[in-house]
Amino acid sequence: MSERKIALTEKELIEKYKLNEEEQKYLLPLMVEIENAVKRHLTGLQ
Amino acid sequence: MSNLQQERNQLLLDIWEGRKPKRVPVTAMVSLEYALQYKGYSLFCELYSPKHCFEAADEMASLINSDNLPVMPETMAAVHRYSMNRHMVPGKDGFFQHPNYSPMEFAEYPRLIEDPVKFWAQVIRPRIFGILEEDPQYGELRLAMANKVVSEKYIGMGTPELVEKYERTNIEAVALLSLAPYDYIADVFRSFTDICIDIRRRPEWVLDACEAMLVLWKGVLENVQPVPGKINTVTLPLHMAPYMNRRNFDKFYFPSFKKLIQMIQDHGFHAVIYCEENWDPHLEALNDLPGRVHIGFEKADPKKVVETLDKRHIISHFFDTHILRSATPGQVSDEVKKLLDIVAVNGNYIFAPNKPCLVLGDARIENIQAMVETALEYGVY
Repeated sequence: MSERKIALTEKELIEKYKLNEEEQKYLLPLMVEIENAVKRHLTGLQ
Repeated sequence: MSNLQQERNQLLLDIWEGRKPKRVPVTAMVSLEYALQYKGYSLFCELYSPKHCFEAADEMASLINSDNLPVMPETMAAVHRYSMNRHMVPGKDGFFQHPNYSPMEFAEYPRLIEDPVKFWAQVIRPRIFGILEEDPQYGELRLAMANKVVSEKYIGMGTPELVEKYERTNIEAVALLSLAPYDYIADVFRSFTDICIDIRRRPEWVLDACEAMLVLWKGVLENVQPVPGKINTVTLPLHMAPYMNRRNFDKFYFPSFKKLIQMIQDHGFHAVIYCEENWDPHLEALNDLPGRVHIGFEKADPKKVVETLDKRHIISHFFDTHILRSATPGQVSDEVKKLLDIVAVNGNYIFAPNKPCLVLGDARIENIQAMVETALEYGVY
């Protein structure tokens, strides 16, 4: 299994989670926020 | 705190302390999905918007005058999606369901029995949460961050704000959602169907696993802090007992369940159990539970419950929600009165529908209102 990127882009999240148009309105921004929070946390640790 | 909120709290306090309250406390249970659909929102779209969820729950509270808040605005649906939770999967309509999924193999019972906490954390969780399997290094961090990000969205527009705005009862605090040991194995580790086979193939493994679940719950209970000044409850929806004959119930289900209830009470919490489906064959066993337990019933015969159950227990639910779909408000009102005549006799009954209104088709709003208003008026002692 290939290593997961620290933070996926919007496009990658849409593809990975198969988000339909409706889900892209509110769910996608939440997922982006989670990815960024993980990235900030890990960057802060380095 | 307003007078109305104080009065509502007093009703529940009286019941928990064994006194007959001024009237039957009246609760309604409506899902957030119902509330969103009522406003014309989509379960694929606004379900993931805390602002819209709050609006929808606010509107339901303005329409339904129950003693409790009928709809809680918080949902972790986005976390379920992000974490790829195989126990909470959206259906074609966007409504989340718990599928009959078995993350544990039959041959793994000995590992579960040997160290249930380690087995749960290291083996089962990654099979349930896809994000842990996909990213062994940072999966737990991702799950924690997902919970944090989503929870923080509800700060300032969550249950506490609506409870205050609509003066609803706030004397109870749900400290924990738990499960009877046998149900926990069926729900989380095996599946409803697999465990029914397991008790025939290796009954001693299932019995030992039920005891192991007590070890797991003991650890959880020791880490839960009660909220000061509240009636701190541990809620247990009970699943499997109605599908068991008396012999199997007595052997596999009840002993560890009774120990868990005792453990909950020993840790200073009040147990709230909900008997799904029909518990008529097992009613007498409930008298063996220690202390005062709040027992909700979905399909048990209310008359039989009142006759059989020890009066120290609190009883609730019973009201059949099917009638809310298509009856008239007058017919609903008549059914509420019929039920109250049977169950509101000893001062230990809390009115509630027998299951939540999950989706818009489950109930007409005017019928929910008639149900609540009738119970409020007719439930005065």
